[in-house]
Amino acid sequence: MRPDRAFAVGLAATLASALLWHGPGGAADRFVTRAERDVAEMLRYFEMDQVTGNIQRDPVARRIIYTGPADTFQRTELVRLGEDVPGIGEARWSPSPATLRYPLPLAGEAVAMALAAFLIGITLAAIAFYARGSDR
Amino acid sequence: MLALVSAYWPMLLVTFVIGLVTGRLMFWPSNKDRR
Repeated sequence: MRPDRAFAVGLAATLASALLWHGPGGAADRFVTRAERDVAEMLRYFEMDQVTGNIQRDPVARRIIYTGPADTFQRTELVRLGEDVPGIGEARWSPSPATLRYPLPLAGEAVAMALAAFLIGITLAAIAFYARGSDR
Repeated sequence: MLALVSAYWPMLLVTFVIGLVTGRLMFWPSNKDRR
């Protein structure tokens, strides 16, 4: 197989793996379930039972959207505590006005991680190739 | 970040192996392609 064709096929396989694992593979659902459970535990620990924290959907992102009654101090602290929950990038009290801001939609982050792993694989193969000195 | 990697590690492993295989095909072309 020609090198450029090998790269194109590898890239397509990488993108397909990322998107299939994210959606039909259920990785996004598992992440949302786990993160919402962690947020609910945190709210229960701080006795904020009237507040709920949901992970953003459509598109799924690592962002908590809080709803419920809270004073200014509680609102500020819940944002800080929510952003400390593992995997959460941002906590807010209203939906984000823009899609393309940190944290990006989870599908985009999954594709970025997959591309990084793909490039690391190619780099290791290149190192092995050049370490051997030639194409023996 | 670790929580994200823990949710996606099988996919990352697969794409890493795809990268290795792609690199193998790119840097060690077959005899047919070399001609």
